[in-house]
Amino acid sequence: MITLTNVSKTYGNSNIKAVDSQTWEIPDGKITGFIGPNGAGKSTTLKMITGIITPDEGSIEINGHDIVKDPIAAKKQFGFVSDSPDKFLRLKGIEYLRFCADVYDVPEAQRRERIDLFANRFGLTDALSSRIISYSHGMRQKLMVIGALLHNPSVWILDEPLTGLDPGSSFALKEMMREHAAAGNSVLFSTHILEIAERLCDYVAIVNRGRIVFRGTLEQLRAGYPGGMSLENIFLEMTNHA
Amino acid sequence: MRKELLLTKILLQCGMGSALPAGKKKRQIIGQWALYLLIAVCIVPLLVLLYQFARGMYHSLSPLHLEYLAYDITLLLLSFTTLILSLPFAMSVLFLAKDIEYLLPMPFSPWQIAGAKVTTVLLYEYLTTAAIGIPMFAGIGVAAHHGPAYFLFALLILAALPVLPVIYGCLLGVLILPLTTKLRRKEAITTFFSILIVILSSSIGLFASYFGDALDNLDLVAIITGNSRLLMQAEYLFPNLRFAGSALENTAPLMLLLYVLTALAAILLFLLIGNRFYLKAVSGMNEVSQKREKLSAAEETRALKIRGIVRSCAAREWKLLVRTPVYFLNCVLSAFIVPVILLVALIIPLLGNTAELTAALQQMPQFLNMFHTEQFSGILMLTVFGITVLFCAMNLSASTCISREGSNFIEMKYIPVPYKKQLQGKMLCSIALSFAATLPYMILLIAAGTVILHTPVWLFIPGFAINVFTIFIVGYFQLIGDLWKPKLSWTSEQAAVKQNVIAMLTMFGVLVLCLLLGLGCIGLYLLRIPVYGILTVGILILGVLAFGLRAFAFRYGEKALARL
Repeated sequence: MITLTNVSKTYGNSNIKAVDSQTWEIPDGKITGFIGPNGAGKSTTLKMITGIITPDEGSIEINGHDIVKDPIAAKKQFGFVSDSPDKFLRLKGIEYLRFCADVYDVPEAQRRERIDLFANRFGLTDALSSRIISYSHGMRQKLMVIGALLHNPSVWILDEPLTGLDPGSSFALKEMMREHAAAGNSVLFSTHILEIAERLCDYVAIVNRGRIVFRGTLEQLRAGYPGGMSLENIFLEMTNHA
Repeated sequence: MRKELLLTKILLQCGMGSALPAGKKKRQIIGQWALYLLIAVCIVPLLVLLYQFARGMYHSLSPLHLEYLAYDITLLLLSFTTLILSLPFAMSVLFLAKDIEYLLPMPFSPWQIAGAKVTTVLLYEYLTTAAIGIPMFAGIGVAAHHGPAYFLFALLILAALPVLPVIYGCLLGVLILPLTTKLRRKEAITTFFSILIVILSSSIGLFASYFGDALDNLDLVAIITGNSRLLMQAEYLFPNLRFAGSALENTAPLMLLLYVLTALAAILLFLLIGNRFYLKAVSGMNEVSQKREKLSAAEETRALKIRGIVRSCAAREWKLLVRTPVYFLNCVLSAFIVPVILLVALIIPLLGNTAELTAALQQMPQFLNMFHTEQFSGILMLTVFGITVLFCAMNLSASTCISREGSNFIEMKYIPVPYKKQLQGKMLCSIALSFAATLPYMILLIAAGTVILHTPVWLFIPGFAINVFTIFIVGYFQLIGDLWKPKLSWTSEQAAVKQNVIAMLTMFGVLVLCLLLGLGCIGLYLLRIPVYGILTVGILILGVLAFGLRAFAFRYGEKALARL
């Protein structure tokens, strides 16, 4: 579970808060979709949750570990897939995964078993001996997903994880997210694609201008807008008039 | 032509975007200008040296009625320097830049893209041409008592001078790349050109040292028979320099016109060739082949063995260093190749002058009797220190270790590994490299000292201590520089290393610091403090400085990385 309490962030000397007093939680056993227009504060929030930047105010706890006060323990709780998979391009796929396994102290037997499992599922087995620079965007994205999930974290944080994946891999990842949440773990993922959020999420948080403007299930969201409005129209309504 | 200019403007804006102070906050603008001022101050001594060299050269050649050589040498030096510096730029801007992928689908003719790119390289090159050319032409102008017309001619020649070398650099790529279908990998191509640049650089170094020696000795025969021939051969490469030399010497407008026209003709020729071959050269540059082979069980077991986290970080760092051509050349190879180039540059002039060498060897016993063993020991230890400083300063692996992460640095922030351990991994690579590059020379020096100068064998122990502590001092000093202002925003790996101003400043800083330490030792000797006493105190100071810097670098690093 991730808990944000009164979290704010302002960049530089500007008076505009990129994230403004956010208090919400990402519950266990659910897939939480994090939705918002460009520049709404999604990336800043995810960066604060993962410890890339520190909040100006408030606190963030991951499974009870404060990301600022106890960063190493907190970082061990989650697996993070960032929005850019273009990393360490001159390493071979297997070398990147070994680095991830070393970083997260994954035992030898488990790292092998999980790499085999994920690589099979994503159709990446034959590519692991090649350098990442030779991978397509989708293959890089899949490798990053495997690296993030190698230590079997209870919390998954994924920034636009389905971008660039082929239908088969996209389906496999969605299945994995569902299985992970069904096992009582938490999944937080950001997306721009409302259809994906609609089909995948148990719970959504909509952010606009740094503030959380809605938290709840999609049914609860629809109930607030009677007249059979589509999710897209509800989203536009919320983000334009918030 | 309008489109070409538009494209050039965009390419320049993209390439220099982060270097220009516009659009930044007042404090940042002041900081950036302060940095430029510091760089300007740092290069002033070099400009003065170039001015004095050119002036001295003219004064030396004038009594022999060989003034024309002063112009020729200056023009050749400028042309070669521009050629060497433009090769990596040309490769980076014309062939390796990511913008190729965006430009190719746009409705531009190949000559327009190639022309805009060559103009961009040319404009970058003006900076170095001006920095070297202005003081040298000024030196000659003052020495020859030339009037304003000479200085106007010199400026016009400087404007046209980089054209031919830059076009050579670009043409090399345009003509070779379409032929090298098997080498169609960024890494292979860049490595090939990088090695070519090193060979060219060392050749010019050797040429300069050989020629410099002849000038020092004012050996008329050598100048006329040897170097004039060398100059003539070099002029085959830049044939239009004859016009430039003549235009400068006699302030002849016709020669100047001919020189400018030949430069323009070179541009036109490049555009014609570029129009025909540029697309062939760049299309498919990003294609990298994949093996598509499943790892065997044994390979997988070996590849997935558990490693300690510092070792794992170091292994990752090492692989990226070795497999990225720009990093390999500047952070790995430089530490090993620069010493070899320096040695060759020292040996070649000696071999070319056997008479002097024999005389020096005959005088050796007298020389040996002039000093005591203790004094030789001091000189030897100081040499170990100097060599270690020089070779380690050339190794940019520590001074760019954060900058090289680029946008990947966020991974450093979200993985559950303390910053200190990540930095330890990076420094493990850098220190191991410096150690491997300097230890053989340390051993050779002390062994030679023992055999030739009869210095004590136990000097290996203080020599080793000096070597290790100096490596630490240089490495951690460089790391602190990179932590202070890492260059994380870059579009090509070249920019992370070769266009990293802080890394260059750190290199100068560490050289100055170590020069002061060396001068301090000499100062203590002049105060009649015994050599072995100075040695003991020196090693203690180095040790305290090395471990002090190490502790500070890690503490500062933790704060600096958290702040990023």
